[in-house]
Amino acid sequence: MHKSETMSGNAPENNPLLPGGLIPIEEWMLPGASVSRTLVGTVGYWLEQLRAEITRPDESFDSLDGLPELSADQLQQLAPEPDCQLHGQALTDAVQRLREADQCRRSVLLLVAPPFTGVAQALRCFPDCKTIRQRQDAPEQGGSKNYRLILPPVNLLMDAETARQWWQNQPMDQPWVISELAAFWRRHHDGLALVQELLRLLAADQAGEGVIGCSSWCWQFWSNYYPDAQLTPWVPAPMTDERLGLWLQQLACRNGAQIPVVRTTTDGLYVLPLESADDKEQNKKRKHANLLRNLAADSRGIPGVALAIWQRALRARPEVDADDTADESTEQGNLRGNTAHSWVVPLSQLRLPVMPVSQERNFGLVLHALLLHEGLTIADLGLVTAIHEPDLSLALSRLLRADIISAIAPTAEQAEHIAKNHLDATVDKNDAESKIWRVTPLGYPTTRRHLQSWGFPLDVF
Amino acid sequence: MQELGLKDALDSITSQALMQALMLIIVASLINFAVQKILPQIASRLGGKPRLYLLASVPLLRLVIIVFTIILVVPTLVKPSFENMLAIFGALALALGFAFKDYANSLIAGIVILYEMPYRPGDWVEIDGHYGEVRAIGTRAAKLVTPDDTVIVVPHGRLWNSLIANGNDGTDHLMCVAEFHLQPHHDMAKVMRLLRNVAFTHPLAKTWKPVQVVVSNQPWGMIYRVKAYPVEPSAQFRFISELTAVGAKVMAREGIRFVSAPVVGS
Repeated sequence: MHKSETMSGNAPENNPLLPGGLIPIEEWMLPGASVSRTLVGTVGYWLEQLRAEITRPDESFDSLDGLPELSADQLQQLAPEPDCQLHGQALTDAVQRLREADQCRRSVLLLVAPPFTGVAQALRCFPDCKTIRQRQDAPEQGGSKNYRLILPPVNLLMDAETARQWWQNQPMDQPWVISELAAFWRRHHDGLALVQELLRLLAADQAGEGVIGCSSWCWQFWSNYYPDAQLTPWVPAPMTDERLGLWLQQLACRNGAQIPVVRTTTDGLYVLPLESADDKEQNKKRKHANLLRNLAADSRGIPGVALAIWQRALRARPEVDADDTADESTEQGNLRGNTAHSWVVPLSQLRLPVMPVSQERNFGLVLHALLLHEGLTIADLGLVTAIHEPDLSLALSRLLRADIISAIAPTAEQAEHIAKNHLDATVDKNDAESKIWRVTPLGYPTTRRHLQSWGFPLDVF
Repeated sequence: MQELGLKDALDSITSQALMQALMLIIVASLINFAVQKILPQIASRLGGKPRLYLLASVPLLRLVIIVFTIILVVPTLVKPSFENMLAIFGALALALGFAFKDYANSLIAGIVILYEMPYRPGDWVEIDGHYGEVRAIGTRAAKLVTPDDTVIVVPHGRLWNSLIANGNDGTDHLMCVAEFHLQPHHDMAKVMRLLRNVAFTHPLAKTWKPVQVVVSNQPWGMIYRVKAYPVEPSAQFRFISELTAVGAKVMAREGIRFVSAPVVGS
């Protein structure tokens, strides 16, 4: 049974851009799946591993079901990527509310989030976001300054003195934001100094007012490195089935469209829109599927992973509801969302990327390093994993074929930053050396399971 | 002796029966001798697994020959009456009881091991100076595989008398220690910090387990012991090796030298 929450977003926990708001890390809980789903998922994973061991398949990832997926334009309309600006604004408001409610007394607020939550991208938009007070004040009143984004240096291997001087040169006298702390260090005995110095400044309350975004994997490392440092981080609330439904609805409605109707392909049960009180008043009898609950559990409450699975599960051939008196023009595959339906395959029929079988630990070392640092170039990967060529390239190629990882060219902003800070560096977007390797959202669930089975340190999410 | 019926049993042995038994024993001995000499020669001309299987079959064949000889000889010498058999098996049981005393000891120890679990398959243990992974626990003995891939068979009877050191005790947490023997006159706090970073940033380190650096002073210098846990026990050797290598590199960069050889004072 789904109950729709208010879409006004006035209460922080009901903002569809940040469902549940920010909560202390101790209150975070994994969305639960049904017992059958958990058992089927676990058994299915091990059967896939055994099958891969026996048959040694091609290992390239391809979907199993025959229904055509949505085109890029259709996906952009029905399940687009979140708007970083809007997300950043929602975060800004949430942070402001925390400070005004005196829930966060520290001058520097630490935001920890699992990968693919979009927090880092949203924090990068902080300099362009206005706080509630700034929006309320008249422009001529000035008001508080906007956040200033602090970017990491290109060379992260430095000693303590160099790190101290670097932080002294940063503008910490005005509100600042670090979008991703993982970019400020490398898992190398010479790569810790910057973050060590930053944490020293935080402990001594010499860092001014700021917001630090930190990946959960990065947080796992540093919370163990300094077990007595009580930094009381805040985290976005996990995406339960209700929050996920709200979030997916607001994504689809972003372009002014109405809430789409999405039903499962097998039995026609409704997934969207969520069940509301209006349905009961109008005696609309709609049976809802359990898909959102399973989606929340499979994605571990992480919106980016859930969206990737949702995009993969959506199917073409929208059909008209048999109850409606629709005409042929509506049945033209038109996804304006007014009366057309969209379809989604049940998650049990969806084949997600499977980890290639290997007797060595190289896969785990590579994947753990990529999650720890939210993406690495091949040179940095060799530095933090101590895996030499050609083993490193072999591992990367197998993981790439299985769609577990992807290689992304640096953005224009990243290239400019490198060129500005490192005069000798020339960033060629087509150069393999400058590409950044990351774990894919679809590959994240199997990655985490693989790391857990091999004994690697895991995040708390 | 009379009560056991041995006298009657021995009285029934005739000279013909003795000759028959002697002939059987001689033939069996010749066959045994041939098996011991010929089969290894044949095996030396083969290679690979056939050679190993043939060599392994030699003691088995000898055992089969001996058993068959006993089965054939005993009825020849002794009439298989109830009293005779009782006498013979009684004597046999007494002899076997003394011979298998240690075997029974290990069998009972094996049962105790199932309850107390001083070691399990997958544990890394040290018994009587031999360190290795427990691969299998049989009825009488456990098999240990050393880091040099040598299999050591440890009778369970060792449980009663030996000290058994278990590194991980059924878990996947095995503490590894990398030692650094350094010359004195350096900043010890800095060295401890550096070595802790070396261990903590190792890709195979279990960061949620404690990483400690313990230092002790010796007449010839300082010993630093870096204690950390790898992600799984089988990675211990790579873990220790790389900790030592990276730690040595860091020490060299700091200008801190290793002790060449410990100097034993008089």
